Amino acid sequence: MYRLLVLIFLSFILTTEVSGQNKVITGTVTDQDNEPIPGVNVIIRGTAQGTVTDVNGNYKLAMPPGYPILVFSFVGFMNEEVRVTTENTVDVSLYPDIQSLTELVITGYTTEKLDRLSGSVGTVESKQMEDIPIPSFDQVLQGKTAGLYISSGSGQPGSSATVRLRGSGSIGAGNTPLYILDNVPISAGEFSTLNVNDFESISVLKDASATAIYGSRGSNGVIVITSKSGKKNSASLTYRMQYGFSQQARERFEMMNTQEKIAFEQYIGEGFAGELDPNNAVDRKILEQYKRTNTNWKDIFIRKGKLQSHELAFSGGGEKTTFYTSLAYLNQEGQAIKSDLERYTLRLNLSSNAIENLKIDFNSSFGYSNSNVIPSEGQTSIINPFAVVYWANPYITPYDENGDYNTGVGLTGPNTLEIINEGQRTNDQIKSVVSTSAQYNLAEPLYIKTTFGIDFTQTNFERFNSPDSYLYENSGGSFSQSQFQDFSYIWTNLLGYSKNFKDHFIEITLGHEIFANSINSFGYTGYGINPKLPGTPEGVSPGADGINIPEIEGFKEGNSLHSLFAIANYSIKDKYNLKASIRRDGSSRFGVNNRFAIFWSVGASWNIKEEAFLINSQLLSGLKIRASYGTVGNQSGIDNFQSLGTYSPVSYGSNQGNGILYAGNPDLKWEVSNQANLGIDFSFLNDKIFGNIDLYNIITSDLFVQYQLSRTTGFESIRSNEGKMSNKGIELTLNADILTIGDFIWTVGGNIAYNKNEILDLGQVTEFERGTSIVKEGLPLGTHYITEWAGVNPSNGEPLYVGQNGEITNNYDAAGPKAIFGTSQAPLTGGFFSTLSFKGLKLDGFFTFTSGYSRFNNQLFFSENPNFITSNLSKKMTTMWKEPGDITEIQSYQYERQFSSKDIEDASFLRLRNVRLSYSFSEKLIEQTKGIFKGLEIYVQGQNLFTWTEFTGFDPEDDNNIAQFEYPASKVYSVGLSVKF
Amino acid sequence: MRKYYKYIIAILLLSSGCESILDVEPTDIIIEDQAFKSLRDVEAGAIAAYGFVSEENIIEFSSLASDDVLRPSTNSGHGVQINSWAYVASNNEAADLWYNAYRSIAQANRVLYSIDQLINNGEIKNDEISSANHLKSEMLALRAHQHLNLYRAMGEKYGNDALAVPYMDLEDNNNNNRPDGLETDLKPARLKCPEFFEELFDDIDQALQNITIETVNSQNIYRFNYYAIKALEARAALYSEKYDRAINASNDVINNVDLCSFNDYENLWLDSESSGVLFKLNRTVNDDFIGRIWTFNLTDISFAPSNELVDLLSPYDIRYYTTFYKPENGERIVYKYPGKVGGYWFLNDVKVYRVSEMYLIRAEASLKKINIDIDQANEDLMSLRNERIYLYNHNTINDKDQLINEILLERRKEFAYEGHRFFDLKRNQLPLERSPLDCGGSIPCELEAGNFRFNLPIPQEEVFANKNIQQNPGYGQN
Repeated sequence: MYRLLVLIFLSFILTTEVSGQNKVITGTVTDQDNEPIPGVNVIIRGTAQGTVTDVNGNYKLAMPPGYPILVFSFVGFMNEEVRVTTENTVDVSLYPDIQSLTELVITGYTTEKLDRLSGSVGTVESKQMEDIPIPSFDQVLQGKTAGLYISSGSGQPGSSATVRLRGSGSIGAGNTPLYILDNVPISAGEFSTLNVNDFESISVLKDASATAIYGSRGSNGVIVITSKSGKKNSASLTYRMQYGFSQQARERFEMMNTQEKIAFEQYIGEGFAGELDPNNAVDRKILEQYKRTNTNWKDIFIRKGKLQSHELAFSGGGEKTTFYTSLAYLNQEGQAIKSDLERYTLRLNLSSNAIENLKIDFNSSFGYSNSNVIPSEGQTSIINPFAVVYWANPYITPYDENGDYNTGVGLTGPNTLEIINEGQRTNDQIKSVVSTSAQYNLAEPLYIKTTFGIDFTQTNFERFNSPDSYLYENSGGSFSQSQFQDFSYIWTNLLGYSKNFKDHFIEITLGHEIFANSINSFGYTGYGINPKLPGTPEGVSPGADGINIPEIEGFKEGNSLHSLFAIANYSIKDKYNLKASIRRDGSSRFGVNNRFAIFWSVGASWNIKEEAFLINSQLLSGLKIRASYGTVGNQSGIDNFQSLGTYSPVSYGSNQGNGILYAGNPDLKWEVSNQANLGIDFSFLNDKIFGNIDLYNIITSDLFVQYQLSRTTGFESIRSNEGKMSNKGIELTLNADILTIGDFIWTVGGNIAYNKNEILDLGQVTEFERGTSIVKEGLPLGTHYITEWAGVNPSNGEPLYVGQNGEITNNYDAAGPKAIFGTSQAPLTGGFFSTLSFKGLKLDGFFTFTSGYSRFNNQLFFSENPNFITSNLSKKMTTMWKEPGDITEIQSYQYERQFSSKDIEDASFLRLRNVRLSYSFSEKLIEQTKGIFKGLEIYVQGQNLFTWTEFTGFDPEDDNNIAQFEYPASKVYSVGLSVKF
Repeated sequence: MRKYYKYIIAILLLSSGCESILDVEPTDIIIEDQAFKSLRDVEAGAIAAYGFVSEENIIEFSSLASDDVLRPSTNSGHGVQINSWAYVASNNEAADLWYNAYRSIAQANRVLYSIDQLINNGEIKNDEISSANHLKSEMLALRAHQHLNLYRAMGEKYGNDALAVPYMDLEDNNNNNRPDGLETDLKPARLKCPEFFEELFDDIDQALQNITIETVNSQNIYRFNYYAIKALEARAALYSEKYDRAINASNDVINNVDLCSFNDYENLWLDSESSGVLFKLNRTVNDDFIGRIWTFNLTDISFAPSNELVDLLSPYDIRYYTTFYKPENGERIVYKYPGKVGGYWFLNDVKVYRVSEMYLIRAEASLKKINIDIDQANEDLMSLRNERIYLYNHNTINDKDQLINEILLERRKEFAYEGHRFFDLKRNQLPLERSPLDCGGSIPCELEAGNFRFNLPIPQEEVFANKNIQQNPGYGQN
């Protein structure tokens, strides 16, 4: 109170000092809830003059001529600049600044003041996500917050990424974080039909203090998304548009051209050209024709994909009700022919406290997307265009002299081209996330809040293979449709209490929640398609005599959760803060013996800067220590009914009976993750440099594994809780305003995270193999397990391997695999940015990097293997061993090409993820339009323009351990504008 | 604070009312306690028990390991370990045989248990009891049959101290008030042969008690019927060297069921005729095609008939036409399973018990029992050959050993690719000698009598999960 009096006094003096000479402006400054804010700085830009608002948020100020702009600033709120023209009253609303240091952090069920936060929470705000031409928002988060590792598995527009927070905590279950959009858990991996421009902020909850309140689903981290809302007493219309194109990045290997391939085939005497005899007149003629052809299959299958998007967003509000609504359209073509995404999204958010003590919120989004996809994406298949581009022989033409597809046995290029062009492969999706909540203030400070929300996704897959196409003429073509419906609802009830007692602050929230999910799927495949009726179920033949009989498939299942929870916060002067949470979860997935579990956390933080010995420090402008410990669970990624003994249909002859399926484990329960976190938040030199460091130690126990049973029981294994894994790591985030010279500002920042994963215990076994990797105690997850390559014997061209004891051998089987080639799960990840701005001009660069991991490049097995001589081969094959004395890495074609450590490649990379040059038009220009425009920005940007890596597959970044002709990430160039009315 | 209690109580009340949301029942699978509620459910359980039977596993092993096949260059890896006698504990075929057999036993045990439960609690009505008892006989017989197959493959040649395999039934040997056969955490040890066969014959005796005697017909040929159980008894008795029992059981079958005649024999293998078949497994397009064990298609041959076997059969023998076939311009293929009339190539029902086996069991047992009966053996051999060889003229053989050899030879011809040859040699402690025309290079020629490889290894997964199981000698403990 004393301070306020001083402020009022001071403002009075300042006001009187300048009054009388100039134009006098008055007004009120309020927050988004229309509450007055006292103590706001009001400065006349370009002068030293200013004032502060009084206890009612009012101010009064005299403005000298030639200085028309008022700047309003207050800690924890975004600055607001207002150009004063003829008016004498300027009322301003300030909005909380999500990025600033004393912000409110959305931590799921509640929000916390950053000052009091004891957990580890990363926040990404809308301006870091807007206008990036990537339809699936999870990919947009890449590199934005420390410890959140995102790797896109595919460049198909709309595909989602693999997301890992602080490493993988589970072997047998899911490692995907929980996603919450406006209080509704949404299904992971289905984001292509959500519009990222609608998101206001994303909180990444990392440690137990933040996630324990999500109980049995929190152990992989929680990503809380809040969509945009309108501002009170305002109205604005924003139009954004963007045009661009995407293209393939250059690969780091080269295939043979016609001349090289024919020479190679002739040398071995196999292949289309190799089996031709140059001395035979007929053969010679064909050979001549081959030699004249040099098809670049990339021109056939790969293209420059076009991109466009348009969006209208209308937001605003009156005294008691605010709204945000948007309509967006996006059309993005992929780099491969016939791969694209077209999307329409709508959003309406409403918030109203029209009735006293009652606040109603309504958030809804509805979207429809339709995409064409390539056949056999990410598979080593002869109809995957990304494999065929490299496998198709350059001496084969796509079309014959009549202009028809040049199809035939082994003619991979034309065969696939026909499949793609004449067939149809589409996925369309409808997604809607709707929630509504009502908060009623029972009696200050007690309130109740109830929220009901649904997440609905329906995906339809349609595949058509033409009966006229070479590869499908025998089966008469096929047509299939399948539908996948995923519906969940959540009902949350909160009872909250929060109050300040002098220096003490207490907040208690009790909650009850039920969640249910049901999945429903069906589909069919028909054969013997009537060529006159392509692409419709009408064209399917009913089949006869067991041939071309249509197939039907489908399933239904569900699961549910029931929870009770409590969160308590206690704070003394925002200096000493304590937080505790507890949640009791029941899950339908678990056995009667372990259906319920309790998860809890405690956290504390200490604002050292507020202590007497630091409060006057000029250098240090903020210092806080945070610590937390707690337990969180994981129940994702396992089947719904593994706790139960079950039967399923088994047929004998034409009869169907019911036979044993799973043994069931009534003791099945959650994976439990014990998480400790220690963090320091710091800022120096008036917040010119700020950042934080977090150290964590996570031990997941009761890991889901398959426990092997004696087969004499009639069962092979049961799902069981054994095993332990640890993830330890350190995360650093740092931001700095490096340079400020007048209007020129250079800001840099970034984050880096190191995670060490180790499997501690596997229960019944100490190791087991998974393809070309091994899961073994003492090693990190994703460890490659493969035979060590020792080179090619120069005397006979035989491949050599290093055996278990270091001996060199030509016996592949005897040498055996080793686990010394690193892991496919990246330990070191991060991202950094640089922003240069000068007046309205701004240049942003954003890099992501990943280091210390390797991937199995399965593509080499095909491109460097003479067994595949009927396909095109790598240029490297020209260095194949031919005669004694040849020193080469490519063995003679007389020996079997095996998987070996030479296929494991370092996949570390640094990628220029986004670069953007934008210009915001100055007020002067906007002024000339007489207030029609409130803002105008134009920009050019590029995605994935450069990648530095040693990896020779298409793309070092991928969601798994193996490179198998995945759809690579595209380079995207775009221009766009954003206008605000 | 007191005024807030009511709100907290309201939340707790709300919460307890909603807990039933956790009782989510599966829609696509059946929960254990819902599986058996009526006689109809028991029948459905029995169908699944038959559905789990994979007689193909033992037929494949017996054939590929024997001297009835040769491995051509078109073999792309399938069955090579078995054919070369190089199998180890991690062998896939051994694992499949073991697990598939015990899975159908586990299913049969659950059906048997449910029948008793449902009768006790009255869910099966009095007028349904005879049907229930019939199902009980079938499941007991199926359980015995599957155990016998496991014994033939993994068990040691009969002897008082020789090891058989664990016998899974509903006894409660570990006294924990749960039938052993329903426990999923059981780790049973192998039984010695006498104990094993005691359990097995208990099942057969009980099965015979409950079943009505009826002729084999198109209805019951796909299930265990009275004569099929008798045939099982005869086969089990032969393996356990109970020759009188083998003779008695085969008598019962021979006296009541006709041998497949010369004229019907070819149609038997096209499934358009089933005379002389006591039990066969019904196979449709959704099952494995048994003929693909040897031949995937006419140009993709994994195993061909051995030259030795081809030479054994004369063109006057009807089996010359039902055992192999050489297409014009093609390679000779195994032709026991050519496909059903008008159906898919190589898809046939799997014949498990046939009357001809009863003749050869009786003949062999007559020579091995205490009071040797040379006449009976000659008579049985002649009866069978009369129906197989055109204008057959039997010369009586008076030498016992020579006669046993003739019987084994006849078994080889009659049951080629039906799962017997390898075990006939094992049972009689004979060596396996391939003709030089059929072996050499990577295909070994001789497996000397009593070699450890006459017993398949206990699968690695079993040894890993079951600390009580004993591995067969020669395979190591891992």
